Amino acid sequence: MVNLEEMKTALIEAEQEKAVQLANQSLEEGISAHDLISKVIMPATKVIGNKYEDGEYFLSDLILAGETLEAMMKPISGKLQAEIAAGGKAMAGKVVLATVEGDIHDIGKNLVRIFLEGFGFDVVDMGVDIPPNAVIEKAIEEKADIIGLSCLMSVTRDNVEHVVKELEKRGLRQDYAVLVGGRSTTEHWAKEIGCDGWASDAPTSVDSAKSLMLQK
Amino acid sequence: MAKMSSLERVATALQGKQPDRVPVATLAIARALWEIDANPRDVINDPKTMARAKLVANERFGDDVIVAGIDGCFVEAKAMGAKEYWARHMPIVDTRYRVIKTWEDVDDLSMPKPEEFPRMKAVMDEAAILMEKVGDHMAIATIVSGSFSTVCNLMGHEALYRAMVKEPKEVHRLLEKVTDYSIEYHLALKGKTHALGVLDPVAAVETTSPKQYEEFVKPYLAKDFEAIFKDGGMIPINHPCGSCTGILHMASVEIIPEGAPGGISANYGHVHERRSDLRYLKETVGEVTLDPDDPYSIMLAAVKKEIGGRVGIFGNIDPIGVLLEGTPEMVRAQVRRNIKYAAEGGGFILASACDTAVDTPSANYKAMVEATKEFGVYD
Repeated sequence: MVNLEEMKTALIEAEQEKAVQLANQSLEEGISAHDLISKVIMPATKVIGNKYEDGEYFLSDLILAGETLEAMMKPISGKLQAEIAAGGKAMAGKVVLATVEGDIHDIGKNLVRIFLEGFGFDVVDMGVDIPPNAVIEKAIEEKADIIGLSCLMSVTRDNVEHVVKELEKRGLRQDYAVLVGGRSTTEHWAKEIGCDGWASDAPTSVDSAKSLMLQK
Repeated sequence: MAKMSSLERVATALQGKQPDRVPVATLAIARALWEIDANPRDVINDPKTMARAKLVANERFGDDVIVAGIDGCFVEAKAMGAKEYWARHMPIVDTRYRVIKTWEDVDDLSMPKPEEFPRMKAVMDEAAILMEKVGDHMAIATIVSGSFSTVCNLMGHEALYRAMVKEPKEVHRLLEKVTDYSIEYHLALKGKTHALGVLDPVAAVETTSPKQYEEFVKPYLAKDFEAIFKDGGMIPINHPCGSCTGILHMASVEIIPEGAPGGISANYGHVHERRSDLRYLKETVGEVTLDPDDPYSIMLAAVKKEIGGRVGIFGNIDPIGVLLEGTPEMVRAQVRRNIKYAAEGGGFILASACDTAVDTPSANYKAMVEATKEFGVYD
């Protein structure tokens, strides 16, 4: 039997080959994808987030751990979908994620995706420089719970507000929670323009997204 | 004390000494173009109009520093082949297009002479106009890029941060080449500016660990700063942009040549968001009462204690939460707290923690300057 603590450590320390091998082996041994997420992925990403906040981990660590997580999630996601289809536990929620129109910065957004996926969210990552209407169309198509918007530059902040306004205009405002983050954003501003949540960084986006799902 | 000119005031503070009052830099950089209703797309390579905008903004707001250039942290990368796209305020590097895709690309980097690359030439000419018009009494700083941030613009963030772990020798090879070229451009500004603001935004500790800073940032900045001061006669100012917990000494005292004036500009830390910043603050100045509405000012107390008296400390007005979103009263209150924590004994330039947003209200810039003049006078 695979030692789950060993797998958790491999993820935290970004030992990609070992982590993926242990994930595959444990799935073959019959552990459920849900158990792997709750017993390995979620606690490991929590440790990674804490290490970042404590100044022990930095961007390189997050990128390498993120790549390890992505590689592990490939076999796990496939099994998870099958478990959901068979009536098992649902994903934590569905998030359509994008960097706003006019902004091509993606590193923060990518980290948010990795962290949200690690905590069991189903994330549709649209990429960067995405117009408000395209974000909303995708949220409708994907039946998303949350629209996540990343915005690094102050000159593109208006495009977050455009998404909120367009949702209102279409009578869809109650259908989607809007979560925003990025260096040019503040909690005060996010509330003022009508967003439902704000996250200061990738690790805290998970708590914000969970909180938004509880309010739905 | 006799009243100093803006230039004397800033130069004194950059030596860590006490001027007649706290100098103030609004950092209305691209924002200055809005003062003359000019679109950056139309005028960016028109040095006369660029200089006029900076002079008009300086006259209206009344600060002590005029900044030449607007896209400072991208110019070197553009000269080396990076593609740009236009945001509302400036053309920034589009890192979706990577100049360095393989390490072989390092050998083929384009490195035009600064005078022959239009954007570099335009910045040099803008700076020269400002120096000629007001350089005898006003401090002129020109913004350029640190080598580490330029490398990031050439490679893309994820590739660079992965390569620092997996292929450090290749990263050093690229950094050496980029640093030598950056120095060529920086020295081409000799005589055209008093100071160079070296923008190195990706080198803050939200992204770069202190260990990585020591290995991949500090040696190259130190080489650049030595050339800027010794060969160029200009004052180097480092702008790592974000949190400096764990790198503050390396990012200032350790890279500014012995006996030279110099400065550091950043927001220094996010005490409400990062436990490591809060821990550093408490370890440096002891237990503090945090103001939930002002996480910026208090970091100056720690910064002043760690490096005060040796280099000029810029900061620490919040460019978004206070200057862009706040009221003149909020600006005044933050100026007052900044001065309380950092002004004693000199060596402090009150400034926005970063470039300011183009929608920043004029009233907030004016409040920043007026409050500094009111609260920042030394006895």
